[in-house]
Amino acid sequence: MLKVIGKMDIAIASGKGGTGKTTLSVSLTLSLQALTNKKVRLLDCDVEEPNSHLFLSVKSKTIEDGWVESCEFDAEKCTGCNKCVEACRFNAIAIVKKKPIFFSDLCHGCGGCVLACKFDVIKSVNRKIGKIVTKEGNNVILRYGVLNIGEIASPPLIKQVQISDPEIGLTIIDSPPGTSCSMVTSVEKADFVILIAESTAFGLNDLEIAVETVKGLHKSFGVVINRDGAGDDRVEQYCKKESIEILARIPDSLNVAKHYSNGKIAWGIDKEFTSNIDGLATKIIKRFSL
Amino acid sequence: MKELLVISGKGGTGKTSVTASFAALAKNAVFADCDVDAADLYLLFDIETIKKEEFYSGTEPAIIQDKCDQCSICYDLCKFDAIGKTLDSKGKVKFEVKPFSCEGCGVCIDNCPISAIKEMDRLCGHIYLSKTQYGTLSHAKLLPGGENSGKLVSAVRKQAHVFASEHGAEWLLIDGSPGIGCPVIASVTGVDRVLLVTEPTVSGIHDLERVFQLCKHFKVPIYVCVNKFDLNIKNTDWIKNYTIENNETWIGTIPYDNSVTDAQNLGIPVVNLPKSLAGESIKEMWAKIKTDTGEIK
Amino acid sequence: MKIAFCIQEDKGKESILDSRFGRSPGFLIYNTEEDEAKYITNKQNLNAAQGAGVQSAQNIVNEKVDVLITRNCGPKSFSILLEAGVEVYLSKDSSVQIALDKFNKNELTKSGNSNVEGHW
Repeated sequence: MLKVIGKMDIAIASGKGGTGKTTLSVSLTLSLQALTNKKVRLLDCDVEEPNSHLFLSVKSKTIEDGWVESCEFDAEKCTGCNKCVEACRFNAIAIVKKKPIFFSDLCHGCGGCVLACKFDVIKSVNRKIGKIVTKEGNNVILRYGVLNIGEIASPPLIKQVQISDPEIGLTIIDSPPGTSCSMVTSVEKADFVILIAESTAFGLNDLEIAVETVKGLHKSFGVVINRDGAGDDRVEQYCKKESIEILARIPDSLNVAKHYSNGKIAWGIDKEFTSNIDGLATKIIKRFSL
Repeated sequence: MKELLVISGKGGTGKTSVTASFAALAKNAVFADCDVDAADLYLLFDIETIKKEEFYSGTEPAIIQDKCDQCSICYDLCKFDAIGKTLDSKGKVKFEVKPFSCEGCGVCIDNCPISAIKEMDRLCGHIYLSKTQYGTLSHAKLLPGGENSGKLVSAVRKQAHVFASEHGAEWLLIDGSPGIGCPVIASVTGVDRVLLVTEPTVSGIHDLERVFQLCKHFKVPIYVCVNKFDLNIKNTDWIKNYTIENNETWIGTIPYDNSVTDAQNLGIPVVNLPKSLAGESIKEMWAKIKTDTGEIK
Repeated sequence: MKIAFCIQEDKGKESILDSRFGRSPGFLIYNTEEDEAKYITNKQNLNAAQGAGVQSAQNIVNEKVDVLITRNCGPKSFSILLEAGVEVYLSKDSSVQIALDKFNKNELTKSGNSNVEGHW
């Protein structure tokens, strides 16, 4: 597959939210930057609830429009032939009195109607659905998308977040929770996926679904156990049975949670947490010869 | 019937533990797990599935390999990179649909000059109706990479709604999905009240505003509770004030308590665990909600 | 005049009204001049991933219906029907016959707007 993000892209994902995905993404970014002394990029692809920027103090800022491909109708030329309505699987078009009525929020931008129209009525245009923010400082680039309220199509915005300088050597992708289209879009271009889970009943259930999804995408992946010690050993047992590598265990810590509540990542503050993250970063650097 | 939807801005705030506890406390209730991406509610109940249905949504293409003449038009036209191009062992080009990337737009099907691509209904997951010791549960499981969870959410809710209406249930308790996208919109529309379970973290505060906007848009009153409130008292107070300033209802707090994790691993609602601090707080919240919703029929 | 009803299954004028418009299983189209009822299926929209209301409204418009009697109608469907000049009447009645009788006696209210949010 054509590489479009950077030279080495690592996605961080989880079956459900609240498992420490953002904490891991941000701290791993900082740790990798410190250990390699090279520029590291963090792409926050959770466009419905982007949070990474709350934990990173990077200064310079640029904002771009986030858009989805959509279409525009020249109603004067329309003959009411209905071909576009038949082509649109998303029911975004109706024809009344030989004139088109178009519902842009239903449009996926597939271009099917443009291809179907024989009278040159429809052309592709970009419709704004959110924004993309890029921040940079201390050798860290952060890029994230914000989807407008009421918009439903995250994948186009996620793809835009991922269009970024291809010369960057190392990119961390903070993917949205779950296993639906947004998560798939986020991890699809990654070279390696880190799945983070807590060792609880919910944690294991959601991890199993995430594992099935990344296997379906033919990705190589490993697991990080978060809040290790708070639950039991069910995730450990599962990984053993399925021959899945456990990349790191991050111990349960009230201190880390308190830092997080104040908008601080415990990396560089909490000694135990920092050494665990640095251990994971070192493993990644060695494995991928960064 | 009163419809209460439990949501959280981000995941992992304890929403499902709260919903399961309410389920154990409510009399004559029906439940819907609309968090189809992480459908965990059933793990806290003893369930016996009484109905299982396949859930189809939209369509997907399948390339008939014997017919395909490798013209590459589908590959070139697809806006979603959903047609994969590979070489087989003899060096011959082969086109295949990548189901996880496909949005089902049909462009490949409609534009194949020799009709070598057929259109099939897309199986996205399964919907279940299950008996539990506390009442009937409507829930679903999405296939990996399965899409259209907004429509699946509607279907799960509908099934619960129909069952609850037919059986004269007093409550319909819905475990909602995280985020503010399509699945949440599908679960917010038409409910009587939303309970937001959040955490006293900067992320929690950040998400609060977006959830408030969404609920205001759909004209649904909100109850707010903060889980793990003692992690950060200052932020808890901030959330409380924000709630009151926006004329919404503050419903209470739940302490940081490992008994929530313990109950989860035992597969029971935390209110059923003796001497659980979190459990006691949830009982108080439920009593307030019962009083407050007394007027709703 | 042609009047359309959202129904669960075709039992002529005894058909039960469905509570949805976009995902209604079918429509009964009653022609008042000829006192004839015709059934059209809406099955393709039951499984539509999205925009079922749009397609249903299109189906109603294509049948050259004058009046739609429904329990609910969302904003997108309504805008299409309005554009096409189809009048929308809201009814919470159980069957086609009961709703039709009320319509004839001018007892149903004409809707000037959608009465439910989208994604209903």
